[in-house]
Amino acid sequence: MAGSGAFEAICGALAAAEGMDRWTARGTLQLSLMDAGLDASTVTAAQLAIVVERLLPRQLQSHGGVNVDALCLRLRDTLASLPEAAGDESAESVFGRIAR
Amino acid sequence: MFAFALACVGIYTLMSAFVGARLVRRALPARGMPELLMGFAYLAAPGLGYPLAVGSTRVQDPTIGLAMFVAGQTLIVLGCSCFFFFNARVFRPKSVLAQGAAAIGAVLFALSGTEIARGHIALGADALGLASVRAASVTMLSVLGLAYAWTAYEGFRHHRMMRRREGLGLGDPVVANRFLLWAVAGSLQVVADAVSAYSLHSGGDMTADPASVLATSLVGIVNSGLLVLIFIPPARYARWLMRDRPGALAAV
Repeated sequence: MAGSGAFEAICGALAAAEGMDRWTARGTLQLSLMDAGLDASTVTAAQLAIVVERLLPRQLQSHGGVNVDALCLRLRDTLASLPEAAGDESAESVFGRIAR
Repeated sequence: MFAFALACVGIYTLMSAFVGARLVRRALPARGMPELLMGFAYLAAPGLGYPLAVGSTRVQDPTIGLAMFVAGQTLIVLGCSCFFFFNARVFRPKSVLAQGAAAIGAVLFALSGTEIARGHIALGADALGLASVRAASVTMLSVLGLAYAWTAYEGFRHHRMMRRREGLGLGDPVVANRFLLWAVAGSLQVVADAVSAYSLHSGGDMTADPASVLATSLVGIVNSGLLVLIFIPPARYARWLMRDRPGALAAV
């Protein structure tokens, strides 16, 4: 299943890192998202920034030859450069507004 | 027993109509498709469809009664279909399988609703004596049970995910609780539908079978309360949910 724009952007940046390929990057990020209770198809850049800061470094430790700090800094820069996604239609967003 | 059942189902009908109309009214100017689907589902099926179909048997004029029944049945089919499409749109927006399942559910509702209406046109209130109408009613209840089971599954899944997000400072406890209540309401509806479907399948009349009437009544009154907590939660309830997380609402 396709991920959100932010997810795909981070996957691309992660896959370009040394010792990573597309599938490893995707799997690593998916594991971090599962730990965070987030869904790849709807995750936003703001949510991914927290995942990159708090959870991804732990996942990346197991990949030898990866400079975790430098890579996470680059990923955060990538996220910061993303344009704001239009209209959040995630289940969380819908359930957040149905009672307003 | 009859008065108790009528009161419970009546309260659920009123609550559904109120919540549904409120969601539709707010969805139209904002073009919010999820709210429109959910609002129309509550307004059309439990809010208008069931009262019209049930009330049609009490009307003296057979033509008006028949028109009420067919209108009620149509609203039930459309409203229940919206539950499926809401699930697919909100919980699985990129899944072709989910969109297909919603479409299949809607077709099954339409086919069974058509058979029920056809039997009613031919035999009136005695239509349940026809095997085809009984089978169609069981099918409709079973498919509706599946729609609510899907609702419950997604509600519990998202509640679990929201609890994990809370550990990172993401996620709102009020929204997490809303998923839980939504899942509980769906689960209870599955039980009520299963009891009614079993009653019909065993040759009984679900409007007279005590087990079916009791299940429908109790679920109706409990789900009325859940509708309040989900869609129009009192401020005190939201504050209670937020008691350990001041400021969490602004986290996402």
